[in-house]
Amino acid sequence: MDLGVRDINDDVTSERGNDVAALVEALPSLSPPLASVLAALGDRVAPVSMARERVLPVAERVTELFSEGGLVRGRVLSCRGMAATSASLALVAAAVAAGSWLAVIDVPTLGLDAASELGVPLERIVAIDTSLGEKPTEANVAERAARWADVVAAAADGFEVMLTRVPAEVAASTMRKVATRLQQRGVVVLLLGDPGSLACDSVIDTTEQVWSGVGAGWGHLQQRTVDMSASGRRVPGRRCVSLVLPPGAEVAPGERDAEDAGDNWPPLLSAVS
Amino acid sequence: MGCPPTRMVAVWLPDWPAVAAGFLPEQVAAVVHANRVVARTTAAAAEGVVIGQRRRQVQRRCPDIILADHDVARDAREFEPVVRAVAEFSPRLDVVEAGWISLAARGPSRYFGGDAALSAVLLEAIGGAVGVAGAGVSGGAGVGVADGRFASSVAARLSARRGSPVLVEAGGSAAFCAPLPIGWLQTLGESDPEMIDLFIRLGLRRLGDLAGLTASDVLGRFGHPGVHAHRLASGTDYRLPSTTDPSPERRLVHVLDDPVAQAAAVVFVAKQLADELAQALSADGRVCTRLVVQLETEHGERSERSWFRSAGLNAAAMVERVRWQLDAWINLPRGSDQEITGGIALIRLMPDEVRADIGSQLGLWGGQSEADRQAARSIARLAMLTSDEAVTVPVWNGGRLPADRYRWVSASMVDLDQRRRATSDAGTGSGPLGPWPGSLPSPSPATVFAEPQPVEVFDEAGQLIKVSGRGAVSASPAQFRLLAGDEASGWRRGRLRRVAAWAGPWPIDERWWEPERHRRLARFQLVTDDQRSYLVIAEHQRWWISALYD
Repeated sequence: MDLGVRDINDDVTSERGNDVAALVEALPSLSPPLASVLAALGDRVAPVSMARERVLPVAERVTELFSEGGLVRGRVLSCRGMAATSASLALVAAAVAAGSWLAVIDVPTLGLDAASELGVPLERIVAIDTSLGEKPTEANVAERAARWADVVAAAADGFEVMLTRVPAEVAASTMRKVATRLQQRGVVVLLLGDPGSLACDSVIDTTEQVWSGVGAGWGHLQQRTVDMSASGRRVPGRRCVSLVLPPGAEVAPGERDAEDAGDNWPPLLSAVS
Repeated sequence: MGCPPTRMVAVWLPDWPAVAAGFLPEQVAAVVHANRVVARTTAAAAEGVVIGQRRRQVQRRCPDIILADHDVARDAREFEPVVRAVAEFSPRLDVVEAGWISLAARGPSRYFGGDAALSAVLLEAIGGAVGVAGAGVSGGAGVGVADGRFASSVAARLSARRGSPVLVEAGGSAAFCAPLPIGWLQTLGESDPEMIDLFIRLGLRRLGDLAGLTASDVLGRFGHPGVHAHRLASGTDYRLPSTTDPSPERRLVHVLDDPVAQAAAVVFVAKQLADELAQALSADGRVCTRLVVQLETEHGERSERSWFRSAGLNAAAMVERVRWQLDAWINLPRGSDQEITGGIALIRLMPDEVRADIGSQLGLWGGQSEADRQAARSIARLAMLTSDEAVTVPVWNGGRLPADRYRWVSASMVDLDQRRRATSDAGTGSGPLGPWPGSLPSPSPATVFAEPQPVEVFDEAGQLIKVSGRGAVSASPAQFRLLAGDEASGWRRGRLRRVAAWAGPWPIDERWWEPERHRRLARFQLVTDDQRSYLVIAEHQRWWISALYD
């Protein structure tokens, strides 16, 4: 009987799956519904395979971007384009909500309201500033780059998700060490801006976005549709998804059509000049 | 229920934070924490300052009041002479908090010839010690003797009010507690206010009313916290039947090979020990309620204190107590006996009393996960690598501009466990306390500049747009460009960007009553023709980009 017990040599948990298998075999005269319930149960207690264990969850609307169905641990993703920051927050939201901690290294401009709206619980965000309040000068550039590498390496121990900007001056040899460490500790790293010499496993690009809700002097920004695409050396082909941000109150399709048809919404309020 | 309660002496010094802050009783002064009064002097009490009042109410009542911020470390440090004075009578005393000591009565009471005689000598000794500390106690110390910790603590507080020791005869704790209002449970920090409120609404206004109920009924309706309250109200001790003395292998010792002279380094070692201890205990489903901390220097001086907390000591609380103890020891006046002369060579943490961990169950979804523990360890390490101020967590602040809405606070200042509970009901976008009138509606910008970027906004004809004091715009924004550099060396102008859509102005006139912090500005949202959006503000006839919707 196929219990959906995954073929795995992992000894500890696979025993539980086998227990269920034994249980089912010990009850040969099971009625079909009960057998299917047991099969489902067996599926649920079955050990999670290593490949799946190495994936952090993502929101359902962006799963399309990942052939593995989530953020694979140890990978480096570079977020680019006109909605890079929002895209990175939308990608990590589900993982942080599920209990991972997010280290925000050298991104002092992160908008926390936006993070909260996109579903990132703020109580698991920790920001680290490697500049220590110094202004960037010619003299301390190398020192700061080295400190960034140290901080990223140390944060890899405790955080499962990281959002950072790479300083341009990190030496290639240091960067290789950082990359190895991130890989070993299984950290998902999202990069904003230029990734420098850090090799990216995939590139999340936000090429197009359309805002709605604002006109010539009336309304306010309400929602946008962002086209996100994933490509890169670990991504077979190119995967695209069209995302409505912020999620939640989606504009009804008919309404959006009307809006696309032209700016024929009557201005509710207009500026007095 | 269980063993009969031990006879205890409690010493209570009212308004200790005010004494520790160095205020004299005749000064009108108070200590505030989070904008609320936690302690005040006698003179302030006479003026009508009440504990729990807001800072503004207090200032309205007595405009010339001196206010000091609450500092728990200072309270503990200043309390050391009192602890030492009481330790002369009984070496095994528990410090519950600064201003509150409890000790077993039997031995010293026999030695001094009865509870009354013991109370009298205790009061005298404390009076002398507080004199050493350099300030007078506001209301006079209180000493209470009764069966059980709770009853004796209540007696001590009553004694501080009455000005004479309160002695409850053996076996009389239940009768002593019965006529007292049920609010004492909250005053002594044993039950949370919500449950006390519920008791009152159910008509249980006195401790005796609660004690009159059957324990099993209370358990069925209120769970373990209710049973705890019931047990206290009936004059039974804290010590639960499940309390056991832990086995000696739970004692953790750390010998420092090189004696350490810096307090921070000692606390760091203590933190590792405390983590280990708390983890070992919680693996057994237990929590430590009484912890003995021993510190020893390379020259053989020792400091030993026993700390009690009925809610249980977690790792952070243990470390805090080690820090208080160390701080107090280091700050002993020069020339006193047991003065510290060398680096710390040995730290020993001994859980003296543990009980089953029932009270602080966080529910099915509230527990601490492995990821949380890892993150907490990593935060400590990152703070060492950079600095305390560089590792920060967001704290809701509130404001109309995106940059004002959250503050970054050093992670070491925040109890991350507590925080999780505090922020878990945070709504999306509007912050934990509901909507903030005057802030922009969702969506919020993903990039927020702490220092806005200068920009120039033009109309179709290339004229700089002006916003009048009443929020009228001189023309529709049609194009804008970024500015780099600064005023002195001349601006470098970026390329012109076309505005496809815009909204605003939303004026703000903030803090007009404070000349230095007064801000008057107007907010605009601009969308360029390539669909990038900006939050732009006009202030003092200058334009700035405040945030990006990227």
